[in-house]
Amino acid sequence: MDALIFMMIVSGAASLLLFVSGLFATSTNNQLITIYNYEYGTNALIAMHYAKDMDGNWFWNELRHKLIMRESIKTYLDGKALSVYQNLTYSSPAGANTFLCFNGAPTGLDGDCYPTNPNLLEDAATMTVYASSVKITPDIDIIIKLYY
Amino acid sequence: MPAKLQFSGFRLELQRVRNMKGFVGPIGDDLPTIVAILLAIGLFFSSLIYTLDIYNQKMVDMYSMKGSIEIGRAVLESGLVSDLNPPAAKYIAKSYALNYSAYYDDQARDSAGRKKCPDNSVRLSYLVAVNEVGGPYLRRLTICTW
Repeated sequence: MDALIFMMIVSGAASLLLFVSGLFATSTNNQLITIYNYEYGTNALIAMHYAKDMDGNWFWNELRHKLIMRESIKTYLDGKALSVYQNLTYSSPAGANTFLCFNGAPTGLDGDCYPTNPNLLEDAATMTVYASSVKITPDIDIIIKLYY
Repeated sequence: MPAKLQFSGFRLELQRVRNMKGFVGPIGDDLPTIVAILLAIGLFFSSLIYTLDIYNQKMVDMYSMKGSIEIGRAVLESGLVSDLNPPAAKYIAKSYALNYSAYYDDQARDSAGRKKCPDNSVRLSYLVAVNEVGGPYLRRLTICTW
């Protein structure tokens, strides 16, 4: 009887250990992942300063010009600057859930972000978002948002 | 009572016990109990070793990722990447006792066709501007640590 009680106690302790190890194994390094996502966003913004569009013009300058002149950003990002956005999503840890957002008064966009994704708006409240931003004009910020 | 008589009594008692049905010896009699105890101890220590193994693996992963982020910061510090192995990155890798490899995606294999990044290593990618002839160009840079 004593052996049975001993076995039950020890088995219980073993089960607890297995449960804890399972939790630990499936846990994510949230703090490190957060740091990495911000590092990615900041570096991507810096890299885009050096990006050129298909015509060989500086992406950043063109974007600034179009924002100031209130020309269509969507047309530009869908056309001559598409490769810049493709490079961004290709390298991003969030993949296709990487958005270029404009905090200010952009034109030619259905929402504040490129590309516009109605499904994302529905899920955005439940998703984790990492955002890195920089001012492109005194009034307008460009924000890279990574949704998970 | 004389010692000889006492010993004789003990032998008689032992003989009586041995003749009892189902008796398999002093240890044999406790065998079911010992098996249960050994099983329980075996299960406990197996779980303990497994848990420690998981813990160590997780700590190694976290350490590698932290090292990888710091190496990435050193490589990308200048904004416009021209050197994939700056002294600062080598120093950080050494201080973390990590091996690392920084490469652009189209250079993921060395000249002999071997992967620069071993399996089960930590890989973090960045969008970088690379200072090249006719550039700069946007490229995907991967920092791999193991």
